[in-house]
Amino acid sequence: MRNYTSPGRKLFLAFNYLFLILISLTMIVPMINVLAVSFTTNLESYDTTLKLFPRQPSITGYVQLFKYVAIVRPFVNNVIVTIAGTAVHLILCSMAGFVLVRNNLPGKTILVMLVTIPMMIPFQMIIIPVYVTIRNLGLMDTLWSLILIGLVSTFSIILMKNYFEGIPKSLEESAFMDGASEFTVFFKIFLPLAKPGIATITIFEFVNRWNHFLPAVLFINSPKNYTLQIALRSLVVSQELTSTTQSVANNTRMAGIVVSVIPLILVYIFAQNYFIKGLMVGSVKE
Amino acid sequence: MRTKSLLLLLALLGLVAAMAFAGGGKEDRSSDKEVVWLTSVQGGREPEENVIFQNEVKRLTGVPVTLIKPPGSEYKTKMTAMLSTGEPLDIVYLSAADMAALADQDLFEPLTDWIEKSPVLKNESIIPASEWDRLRQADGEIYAVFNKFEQGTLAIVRYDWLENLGLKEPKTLDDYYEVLRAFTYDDPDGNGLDDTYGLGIGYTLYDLSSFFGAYGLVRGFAEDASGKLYSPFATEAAIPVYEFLARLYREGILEPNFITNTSANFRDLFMTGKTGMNFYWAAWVGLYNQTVKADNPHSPFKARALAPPMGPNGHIMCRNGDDGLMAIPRISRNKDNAFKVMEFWHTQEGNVLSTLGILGHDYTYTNGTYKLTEVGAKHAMDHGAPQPKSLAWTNPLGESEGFAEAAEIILKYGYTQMVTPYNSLWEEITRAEAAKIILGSVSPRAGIAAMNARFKEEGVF
Amino acid sequence: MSYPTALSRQFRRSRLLYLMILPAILYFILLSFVPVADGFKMSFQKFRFVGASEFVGWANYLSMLKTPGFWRVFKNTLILGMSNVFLTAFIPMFVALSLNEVGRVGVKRSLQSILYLPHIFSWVVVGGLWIFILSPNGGLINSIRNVFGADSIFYLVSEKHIRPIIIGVNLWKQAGYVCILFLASIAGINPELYEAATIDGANGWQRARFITIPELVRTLKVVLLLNVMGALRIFDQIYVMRNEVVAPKVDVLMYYVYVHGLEKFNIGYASAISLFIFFITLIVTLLVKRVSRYEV
Repeated sequence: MRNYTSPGRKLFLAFNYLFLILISLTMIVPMINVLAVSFTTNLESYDTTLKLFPRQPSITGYVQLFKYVAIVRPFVNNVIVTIAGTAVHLILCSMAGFVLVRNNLPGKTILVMLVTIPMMIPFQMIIIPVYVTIRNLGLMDTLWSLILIGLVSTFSIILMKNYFEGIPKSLEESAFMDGASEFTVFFKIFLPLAKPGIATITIFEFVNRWNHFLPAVLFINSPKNYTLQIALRSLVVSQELTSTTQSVANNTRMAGIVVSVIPLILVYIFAQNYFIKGLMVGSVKE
Repeated sequence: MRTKSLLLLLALLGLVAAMAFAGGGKEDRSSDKEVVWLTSVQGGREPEENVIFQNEVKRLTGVPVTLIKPPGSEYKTKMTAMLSTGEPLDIVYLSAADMAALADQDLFEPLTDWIEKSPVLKNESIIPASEWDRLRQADGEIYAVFNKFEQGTLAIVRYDWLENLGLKEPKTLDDYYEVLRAFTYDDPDGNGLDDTYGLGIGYTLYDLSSFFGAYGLVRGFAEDASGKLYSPFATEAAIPVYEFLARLYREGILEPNFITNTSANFRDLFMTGKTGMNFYWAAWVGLYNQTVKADNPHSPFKARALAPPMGPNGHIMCRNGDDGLMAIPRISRNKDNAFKVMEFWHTQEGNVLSTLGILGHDYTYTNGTYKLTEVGAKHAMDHGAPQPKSLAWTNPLGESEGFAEAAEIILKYGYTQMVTPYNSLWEEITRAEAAKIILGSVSPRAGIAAMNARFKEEGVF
Repeated sequence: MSYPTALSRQFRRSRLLYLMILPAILYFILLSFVPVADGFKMSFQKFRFVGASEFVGWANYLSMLKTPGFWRVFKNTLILGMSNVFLTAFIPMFVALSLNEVGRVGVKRSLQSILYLPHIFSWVVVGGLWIFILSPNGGLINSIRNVFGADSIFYLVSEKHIRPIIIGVNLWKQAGYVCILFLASIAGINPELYEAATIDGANGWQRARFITIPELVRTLKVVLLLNVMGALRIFDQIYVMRNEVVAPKVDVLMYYVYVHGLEKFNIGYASAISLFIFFITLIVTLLVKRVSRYEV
């Protein structure tokens, strides 16, 4: 139902749009630059001025990327680790978040503490003990180690808890009256209603895992287990080794960045469905 | 709902199963003969090449080798994690500075006797004794073997610009100033635009060390007559250099991004004709030419090395790279084989491997002639030691363009920075204060005072 | 008769709940708590890579407290960290509200996607990007300044500008994704609530005030808490964007840990500092929880 929009409303909307568009511009221009440079020729890519469109479009960057950096295998490894890890992460964290929402659970405070404290631990502090643990578990130099690290996270658990708290009590009460178990309530009521929350966690964890770098450096030794970030690292980070002779053109570098980011964009677009509602739910509409 | 969740579960199980096949990369290192080699620069240029490299080492030495080569930027993290958790490594590559920092951890096997008895390493025509003396620690032992001949950073200039402007090669500090000024303001590339800078660097003070060298000042720490440490860059003698550099910046001759430039940045600036001079490793003289000509064969680009500037008292000095070393951890179970590999690295065959690369993959050898393959050409003859340490080495394919003269310059004027436990502190403090001087925010005198005050505060002296 | 009593049912229910949270707890014990205990131990040692490390009691901590460098980075960490906590909580909330007002779904989705983009790039890329944008020669900001006749400013070496820059770039990178958190919570609001309110005669603003905003505030508390738990651990951005000139103003505790652990190989000392970060985070988290009256 389209209502009459007052001038005040129109002004408000105009400012709204302006604000959003300005912000978006600052975000998208650098990204376009990355994309543009990835499609330039070698020589043109050395030019450091801001580029929005390649003067001489070329796919040399991508060709060189695939030919000399051999990213297919690392890419696949990344996919495996990220999908598997994210899937398990989702299940475990949403279950944990659900548990923390229950009211009459003895020992809940302790559980909450056990779950929240780990996030405050700086990873660098525990690198060495974790290294030893992974080694003792026999997971050194396997993709399993990368899946295991970050299998659950405080962040996701707390977020899921937050989204679960938004679900009305009446729904679960009626389910319990029908004799449902906790797990059924979780699975059939809470989970479906927390779809926006799940979508959010999925994206974050996917992106987080996909970009995971330090664990891969620490636990992987064999090239066949390399993940994408390792393969691209030497590409993207220029090193100051003693007398380096590595010469990488910027277009290849940018191509590497683009390739590593595309899956993330895809996953995002897919998950976006779940937290953008079609109608203006809850907006300040007359 | 039920079927959907079941399907999800199955998919998950399927993935997990897939990983079981993908995941098992555990190398069996329980074999007593295999040498585990942790390095950041040696080996294949791509991860796959590491495997071929390993086989080549085995072919040439009889020793089976496993190479672990993490990305350079994270090498230290990996090395620290492995060394501190008792990983059975046999060869570890590390810089001289790291060796010094780890000295009191007593991690490595003394190699002095082994080196004495080695026909390869003790051979003066391969590695002179003076070089080994530099590696001797306080207890008189040598704990590591060299990786390669460390090149120095020297001035690389757009020779075609010199020619365009009718300038001679600069020799003294004043000459350098004139040339750089001309590069900035006299339109050296003749395109009618004021779009060039004389000097483009990245800010590590490696680059600028040649200017300090003109006044006889070494980079890093030095010992005074009584054996105490002091920083030559933080003495009165350095003031003229700072004034020179501040002038370059003030007059717009020094490219303004220098403090945040990475080496990739200033290389790009040089190659795209935005700057006329930079300071870099000798090998890059050839690489610059190669890279530019590869994409633009008709470019007038001509990069050449220059001798460092000579100061008013006749000093000329340029800085060599820090030694990259190979050491054997005490807990290694294969010390004999590890040493064998390190010794091999300095033989003729080892030198070929560390430069050209792997027979059949990087190069072919038919009828006594070497020829690079396409892959080998891409690797620019660098598999860990583009310039082997061995003095007996000559590259069968000749050196890349301009390299020979550059190497000569370095041999003549190069010095190696002294290794102390305070090196990273020196970097932090000197770079910070020198930057402020060059930017013109503080006077040279005030900057030097600040440096020394900070050194004192940190307990260096 | 074996009727399920209320008590036994509750017990059975709890058992299942414990089971559901068990994997998470196990993970944390194995990969967080045990390693932290180890790190705790290391902080009291003069850590030796090989062989037994000797215990030096509080020496590492004392040395830490006596070093002026430590207090400087602590101050930096607090300033940068807490600024991040609040800015990356409140500003995305307003952006979310703003986005929610957008009429056309297509536009809304595109805008939101663009806002989120910076988050998926690593700090190596984002840092490098902004160093370039802010650089005096060829950087976008200075080019614009030059067009208007102003001189270039080398922002990244300016002690005046560097902290706002670090905070600003962090906001730029994270705003989009925190925004999603808020949008997701709005999306989770039952539409019937709005319908009921409209039927009862509430107008737009009233609906926002009594339905949307309380929900957002609830999420805001969580966001603040999550931000705080990670705020003092910042590292990646500083590692990429720092330089020696502005180091005194932006070096953070984790960078300090890195330098001592990896460059000086002083692992016992580095552990002590890490532990310090951990405890401070604990304290600040409890404080924020108390102040925001966040119920667990």
